[in-house]
Amino acid sequence: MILSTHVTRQLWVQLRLLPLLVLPAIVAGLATAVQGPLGAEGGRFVLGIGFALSALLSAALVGAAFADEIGSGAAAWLVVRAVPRTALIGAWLGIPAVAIGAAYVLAGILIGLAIPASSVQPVDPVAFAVVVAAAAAPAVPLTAAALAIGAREPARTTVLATLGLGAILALPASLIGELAVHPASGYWLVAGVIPADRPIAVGLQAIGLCLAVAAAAWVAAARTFQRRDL
Amino acid sequence: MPISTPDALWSSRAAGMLRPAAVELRDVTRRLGDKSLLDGLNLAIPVGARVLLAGVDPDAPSLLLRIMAGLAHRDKGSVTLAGLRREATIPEGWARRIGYVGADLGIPRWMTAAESLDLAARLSGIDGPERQRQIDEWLRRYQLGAIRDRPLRHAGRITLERTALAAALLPDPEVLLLDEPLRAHSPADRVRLLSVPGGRRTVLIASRYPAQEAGLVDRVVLIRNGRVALHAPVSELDAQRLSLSLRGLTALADVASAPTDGDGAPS
Repeated sequence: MILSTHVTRQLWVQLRLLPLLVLPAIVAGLATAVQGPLGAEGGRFVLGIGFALSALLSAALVGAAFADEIGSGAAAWLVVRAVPRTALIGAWLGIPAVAIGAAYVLAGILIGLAIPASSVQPVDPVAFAVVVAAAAAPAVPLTAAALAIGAREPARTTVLATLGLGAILALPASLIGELAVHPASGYWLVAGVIPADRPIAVGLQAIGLCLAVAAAAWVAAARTFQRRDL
Repeated sequence: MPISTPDALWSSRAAGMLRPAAVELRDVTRRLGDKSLLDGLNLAIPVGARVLLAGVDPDAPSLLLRIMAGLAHRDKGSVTLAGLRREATIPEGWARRIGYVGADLGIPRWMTAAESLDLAARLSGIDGPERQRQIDEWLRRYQLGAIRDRPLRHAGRITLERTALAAALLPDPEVLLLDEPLRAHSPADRVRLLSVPGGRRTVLIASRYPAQEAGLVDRVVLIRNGRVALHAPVSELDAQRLSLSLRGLTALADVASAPTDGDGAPS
């Protein structure tokens, strides 16, 4: 609890918590403003791309904040007070993940309000919630990967490397986008590229894959942080 | 299995007679690239000693303190502080037994002085009215009242150093590790602030400027070629009419290059 409060305040004071909380809502608002009602295909495509970019930006912000925490000596200050390094990096993933989850709840509400009542297809609330959750989920493994980079590189390098990683991952994800379920399938569901005949199954599989990749990335981040001299 | 020594034992007369080691380093080795900063270093420091760590390579003492604090890794060897052996996991009670102030200080600048002391106390397991009493006491002792409720980003280096030292001393640690401490303070203020109460407290100061630590230490350790080249009381420098400087320490190490015992202490 002490650690969670510390990380939350650290992110808030560095003005990095606010973007995590509002980016998806801004994306939802912009997509509506630019492309019209979200029931339309064009609007959904912009929304899917926007969510992917906001996840990448959020991950880069968290990775940079963690690199700053190490660079400023604040991580060392905690570690000499017997805070386990795994607990520290766990808090640095857990708090942003909760913030991102809350942000997508807000974005989901905005999207729900933007879908016109006269929409041709009625919205299934369960499927809608799963699709929004599947769109939120890729931000977690991306954040864990950014923490792994931030655990050994300074803030600026962390931002550039995270954005580069996103660009690299976008290529295979776009190639297999419609063919198989993968961690980024949530964006394809939102964009309407994957046929929405079974959104719950695809969405849940994508969430599961995201959590598995996030766990692997967090282990890599924790091992990197363990080996680092502070 | 880490060995925990109760405070009562440390302060007992029997412990004083036995002179138990507050710090015990065995075969500590660390290479950085091609450079071997620590090469099988052995050192035992008795309880209550105030020791200056100096090095022919100025990075070696700082690295050694950071290894002791668990911030830097060692390639091999063992580190035992206040009876606690720090391996991959942190032994219970570590936060209350060991204090460390690094050159970077590390306190988040968005915190107030009171908040940083409060966080240090919470992490050390000090709760209830005792926590507030300790915070008030250390704010008063180090004259931090003016910055008590203001973020430390508004504070100068002197205030930051005092806050960092207060946060390290608040849990009443048995071993205090100071890496280039209080550089922004005048020599008189440094002596006053570092002359903290606690007869059983062992203090290790890593310094690039040994002369500035005069009056603070009663023993000196010189690290040369990754090993302890000298471990002697300060009085031996006086006896040889040598100054408390790197040159003086090196000269004394050359004079006293007679065989030493296994822990680097004078035989």
